[in-house]
Amino acid sequence: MYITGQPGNENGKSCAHSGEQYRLLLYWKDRRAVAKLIPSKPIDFNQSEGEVRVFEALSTLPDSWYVFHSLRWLSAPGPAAHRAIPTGIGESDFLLFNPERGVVVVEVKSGRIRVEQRQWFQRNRNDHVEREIEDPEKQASRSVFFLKDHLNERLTPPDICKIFHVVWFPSFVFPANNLPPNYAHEMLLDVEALGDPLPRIEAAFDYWERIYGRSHISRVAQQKIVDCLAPTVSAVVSFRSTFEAREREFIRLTTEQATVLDFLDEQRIATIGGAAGTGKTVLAIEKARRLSDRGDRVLFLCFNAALRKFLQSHHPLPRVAFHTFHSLAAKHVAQREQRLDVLPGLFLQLLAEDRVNWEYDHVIIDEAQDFESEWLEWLQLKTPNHFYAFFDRNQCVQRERFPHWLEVADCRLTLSQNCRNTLHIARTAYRSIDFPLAKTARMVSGKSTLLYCCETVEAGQRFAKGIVKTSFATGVFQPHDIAVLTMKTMDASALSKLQKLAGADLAEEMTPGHVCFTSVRRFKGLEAKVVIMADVEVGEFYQREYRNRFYVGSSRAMHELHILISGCTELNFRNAMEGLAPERKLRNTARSFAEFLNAKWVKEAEHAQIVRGR
Amino acid sequence: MLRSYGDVEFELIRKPNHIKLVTSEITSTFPRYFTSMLEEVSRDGGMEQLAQKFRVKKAKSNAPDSLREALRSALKGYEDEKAKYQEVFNDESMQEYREDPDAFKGHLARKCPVIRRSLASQRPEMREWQQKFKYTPAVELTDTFVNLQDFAQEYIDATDPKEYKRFDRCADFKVGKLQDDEDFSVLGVIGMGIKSAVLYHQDPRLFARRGRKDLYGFYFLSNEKDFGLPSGTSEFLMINDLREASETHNLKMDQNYWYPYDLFSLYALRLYRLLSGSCKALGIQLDNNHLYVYVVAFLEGVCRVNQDAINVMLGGLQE
Repeated sequence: MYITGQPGNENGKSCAHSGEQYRLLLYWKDRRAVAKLIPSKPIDFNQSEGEVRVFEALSTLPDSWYVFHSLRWLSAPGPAAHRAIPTGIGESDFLLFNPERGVVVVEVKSGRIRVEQRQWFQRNRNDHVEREIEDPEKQASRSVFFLKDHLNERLTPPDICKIFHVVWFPSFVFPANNLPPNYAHEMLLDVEALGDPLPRIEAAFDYWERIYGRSHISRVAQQKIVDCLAPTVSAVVSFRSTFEAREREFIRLTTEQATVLDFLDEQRIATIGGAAGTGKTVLAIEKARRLSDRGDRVLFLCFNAALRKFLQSHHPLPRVAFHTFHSLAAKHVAQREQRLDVLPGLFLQLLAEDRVNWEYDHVIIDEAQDFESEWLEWLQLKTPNHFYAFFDRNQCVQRERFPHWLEVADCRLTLSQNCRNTLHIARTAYRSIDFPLAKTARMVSGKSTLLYCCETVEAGQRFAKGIVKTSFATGVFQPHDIAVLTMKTMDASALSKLQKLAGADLAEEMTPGHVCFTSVRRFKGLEAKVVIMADVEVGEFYQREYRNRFYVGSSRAMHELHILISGCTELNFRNAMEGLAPERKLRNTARSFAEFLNAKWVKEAEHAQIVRGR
Repeated sequence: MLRSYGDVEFELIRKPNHIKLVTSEITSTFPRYFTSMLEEVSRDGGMEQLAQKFRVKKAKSNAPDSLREALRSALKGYEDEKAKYQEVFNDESMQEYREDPDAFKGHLARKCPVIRRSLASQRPEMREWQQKFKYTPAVELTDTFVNLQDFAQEYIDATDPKEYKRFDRCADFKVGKLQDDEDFSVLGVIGMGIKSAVLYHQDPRLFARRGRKDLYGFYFLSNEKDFGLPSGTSEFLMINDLREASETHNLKMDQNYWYPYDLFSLYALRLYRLLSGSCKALGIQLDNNHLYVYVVAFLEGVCRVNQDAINVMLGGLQE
């Protein structure tokens, strides 16, 4: 058998020439109610003039047709032993889909084609060298086998999409006789089909349907097929990836801060000041670890019982004893005297009378601003070696006066690089106490602080539940990554009646599998990835003590800070701004209040949409 | 207006009858300037003069096409300038400036076009302003612009541009506090001219520019008339009759620095309607998103026609 054809049109029929795809594009744009072309613009057809001609012809099909061109597919290895195709990558020149008929794969072969003794040859248009090619029918049927599995496994019976194939020789008229045995006239299209391809394509469907039956494609199945062949994928940066990037950056900054420790080796007594999030506790722990590695005994003191418990469980170090000042006192004072208000006095009496068996080589104090000056003096007197006190003047919320001992200490170091909070959160926290934020260029970016106006208890609860629910939905945060901190006492909180939040149990301490719900005071010194500040009152910002407490609470947040706030009246905003920015001439509106705290208001309706997963 | 007349004339220019007279005058003068604008853009960048000089025949240009091109060019100019304002007044920068007002003042002086031009101005009357700017505390400037940005965002959120296009009374604009409230001003330093330039480059759908050329433009559009004001002068100009210009002993005319912004916006919006109608007649649809860009372009065209008169008013000094 010998078939041959010439590029160009020997029968005087019109056909596209020169392969000018730009012209084609204009042509296609001008037409109405034509097939849906996917992609919508002609793409590179590997310089195949034949494919350009076929593209032009197919673009005239009615709008019930989808024309996919240059469709590449990947057949992965799988258990489907019945597959007639090897694994690998393939490409269909064209794939036509009609919701009433199904799919037909079109393999295009243009130029001079010769078939002899079941071997196919094609002459290259550029170098005029004839090369053997694969049987086009076989090539097309491979796509059919792939698509049969690929498409139909997505459909639900009775939906079924029949997939057929045709071969198109756009450069010549195919001889009417002597067809190879794997070809039928109905599945062959040639140059004559370029003028009006629809009847020939319909005829091909008729032929195959007589053998294999018809498709049944519902509207849902139709959409599934289109989505499967040309899925729409919007690539967005995943929440997890940005979260992890921030975590890495926090670790890098903290490591950088640790170089301060080398300096401390030279200092027996030192105070280290720094705003919230500057890594004081991290440095204190690291110093304790280094000293214990030398075989020395270290007393690590803090004020907050919750912080002590957290440090004990998360940083168990040999030869390091974690205590609050009160627990240390209780250890040494007789059992019958356990009242918190008298314990410190009794303990100091014992220290003064030298009746305490002092077993520590070094003392490290975190949250030293919450200690009485007298406590610090006695502790330092009793400590034979290193004595370090870490403090933040602005977190002095347990007592009215800042300890004098810290004021007059000889060696005072300052940490300025925030390495806990994102830039947004640090701005919110620091601005609430009018504290300058240093080295912002090196800080980690993140989500904006969000403000929720909660004028009723129910609104506060709704917002809190929604925030926790959406935090879980990110797949990044676990219940114990979230802390709900009330500015009031636990009993007075609008959230006090809640037992669970978005299905997670609440616990007053940081417990695995629980959302922590506690007061700002009790959470001092700790941190959480997501912090929800509850029971915040706009009008109270006028008071310095309140702003300090807000600073303590908000600076606990590492990645996200949500503020449930009430009392959103014009008068309260005016008072709040007078407290927050007394020397400035900033406006007193809700918007300027939020802007000042570097936060954004979230409306209830908007929030509800987010929670529903808009 | 004359400085010596105090606030009397500011009340008179707000009277409905007065506004009606001014609008009517602007409406009657508008076609003349629109025609001259068409002639100007049709001259095709000086090709006509060249053609005359070399005595060659120049192909007749198509007026609508030339106008379309000129408007496109005006939009491009606006966008270029807007980018410079955006560099200073974007949200993230403004959050940083709150923490570093000195940096803000420096950037304002170097990067904000309207301030930079004022600081570089050689006009003697600008010397006082330049001194005042120098001595204004950075924190006061920062807060003023933070408030201005705050106002702008609030206004944009609350105003439907479609509804805005239908505003037809001063009260509709609700921009009075921008001029009156001290939160938005630094006395003698940050006035409505600078503020409107910043706002205009933020959203030209809602904020008209009320600069010197814009006021002069209306002065000529209203045929330099006084509309019965007691001082016998135009409301768009201010003559400081309380102080003689030191060198010449003449009184100097300048823009009316205190011209009410809402009233100005009203005339500017009405002018846009005239402009839009005339362009439509030529088959040109103006883009509503750049409403005041067209107004500014037109008023600048009016000033170009009257450049000689402006030079005389300013004592020959122009930047």
